[in-house]
Amino acid sequence: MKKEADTLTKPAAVPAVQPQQPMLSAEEIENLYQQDTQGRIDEMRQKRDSRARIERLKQELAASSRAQSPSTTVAAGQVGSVGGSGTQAGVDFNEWIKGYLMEHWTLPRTHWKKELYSVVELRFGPQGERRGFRMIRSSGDPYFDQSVEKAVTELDKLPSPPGKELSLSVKFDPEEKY
Amino acid sequence: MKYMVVVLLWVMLGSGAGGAFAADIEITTPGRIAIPTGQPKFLPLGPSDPEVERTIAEVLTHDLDLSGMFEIIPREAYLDDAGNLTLTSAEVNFSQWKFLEAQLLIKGAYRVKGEQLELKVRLFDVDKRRLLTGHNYKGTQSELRRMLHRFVDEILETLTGTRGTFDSNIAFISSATGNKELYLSDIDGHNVRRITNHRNLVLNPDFGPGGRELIFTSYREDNPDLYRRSISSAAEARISAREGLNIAARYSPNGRELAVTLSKDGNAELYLLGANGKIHKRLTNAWGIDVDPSWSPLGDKIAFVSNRHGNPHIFVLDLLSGKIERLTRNGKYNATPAWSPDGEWILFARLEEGVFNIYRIRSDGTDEHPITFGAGNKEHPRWSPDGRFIAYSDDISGEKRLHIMRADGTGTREIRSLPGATSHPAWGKR
Repeated sequence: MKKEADTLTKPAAVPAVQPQQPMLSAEEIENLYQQDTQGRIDEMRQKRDSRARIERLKQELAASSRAQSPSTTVAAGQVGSVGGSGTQAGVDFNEWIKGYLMEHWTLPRTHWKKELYSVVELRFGPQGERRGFRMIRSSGDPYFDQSVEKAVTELDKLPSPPGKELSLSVKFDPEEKY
Repeated sequence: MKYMVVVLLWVMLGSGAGGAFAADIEITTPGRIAIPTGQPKFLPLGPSDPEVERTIAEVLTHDLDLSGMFEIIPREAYLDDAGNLTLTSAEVNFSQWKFLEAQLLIKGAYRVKGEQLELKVRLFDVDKRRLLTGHNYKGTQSELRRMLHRFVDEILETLTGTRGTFDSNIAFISSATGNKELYLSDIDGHNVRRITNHRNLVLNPDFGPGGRELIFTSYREDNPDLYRRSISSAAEARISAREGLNIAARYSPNGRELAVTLSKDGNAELYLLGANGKIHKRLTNAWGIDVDPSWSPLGDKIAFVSNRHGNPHIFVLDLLSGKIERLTRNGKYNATPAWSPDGEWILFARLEEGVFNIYRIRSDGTDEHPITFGAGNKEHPRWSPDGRFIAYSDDISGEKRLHIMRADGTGTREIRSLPGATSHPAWGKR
């Protein structure tokens, strides 16, 4: 039977095979801990805490906006037009835009995660030219957002002129497949 | 206060208020799941060397493919820029690559002078016609594989913000000598080094703080005792040789303590030890066995296996409160949890219909599902430090062999190193 006391007072009871250098001392481990790991752990803690804070704020916000003005929580307008009125033209273009953006969106499966999605607002002129886009909801992951911006910048022009200004929101939200 | 609410409202609308963002168009399937990339043969700056070129092709193909991010455009389609030593954004003919629909371009060149080797590597953004990252490495020919692994790690960091771990080590157990001993290799199975010569049975390695040492269990003295060993100096110490089990030790994320199973009092329980083997705390005290601890990345929780309710299931211990919660409820045999580096998932092996497959479950107990399927026992899953990959063993060929796959279960391949059984991987840093 091996006694605990033996192993504690003589940690190297089994001789080292090539005892050229001592093991990491407690101080060295402490240093590693200080320099490297603690920083990362603190960073992760902060991220976790800030996520929790944002969630809490969102809930408070949702509660307060419901109490004040129900309409303010509607983030996006109706299909198609700037004022959110919705037109048939808008509906027709939606299918085309969806197909085009899908085809031009490259996203490795490493980034198909439940928590990652972003929303872009696209604006087109009466001749169908893209007048601009704006990321109105970032995924928080720079690579994911870049992949979305890249797809959107590929869409220079609609296949036919809508005849009026068009503004619509597009949500890029890959399903995490199992 | 009212002002606060208005500001908050403005901020929160931009972040989609709880995920229920109603957009006009919703795209749930990206058209491409890999970035079309041009990757012509690296060209010689002096005399050509077929062996160097073969190694470059092998390492780049392995790493780029395993990453799952790139689709290499077939070389038959390349135009003359592929054969030109154009390594600056001013010189590269981006129109040719754009014509081939490449979004990225990886080019390189090498020079061999005796044992010395110079390697120039470049990553270009084809659309923006600019250099994203590049390196000129100088070293010996034996360092070529490592230069290439490092470059792919850098490519991943440039594109995603998270560095890759191709330039890292896997510790594993092999029976190549007839005894189970501890070995280290590159993650593609090259550069194998034997670490132990205990001539008995070595089990269950884990890397210590900074990746500079290993802990493992060995029957060298005929009892499953716990050892620490420095990788660089080969200095070794037995740190826990208590009667009975001293097994499955895992360093805490800060490297200060070890979680381990001891059975000195007759029943297998979890303990916290100092790095010198001194008991800091007993963590569990229940009927049944408590084994295979895995730390959360924050170091505030430990997932482990217990049969306290009958069948082996995964439980989570909160170290602050001491509270233990059951994580898995399905299956009759769940083993070897591994907490992901981002804290999101816990991997484990489950026995179903006579075969072990690897499952994952969110750390809050939701979304449980298998990520491997079919025959062959897949066991002992361990994460790469960047959370992109999983190493494990599979006995589909008749004996346990190390395998590697992406975190979603795709891209499976064998890690070919030594003949015979290879198992119990642990992934280290370099």
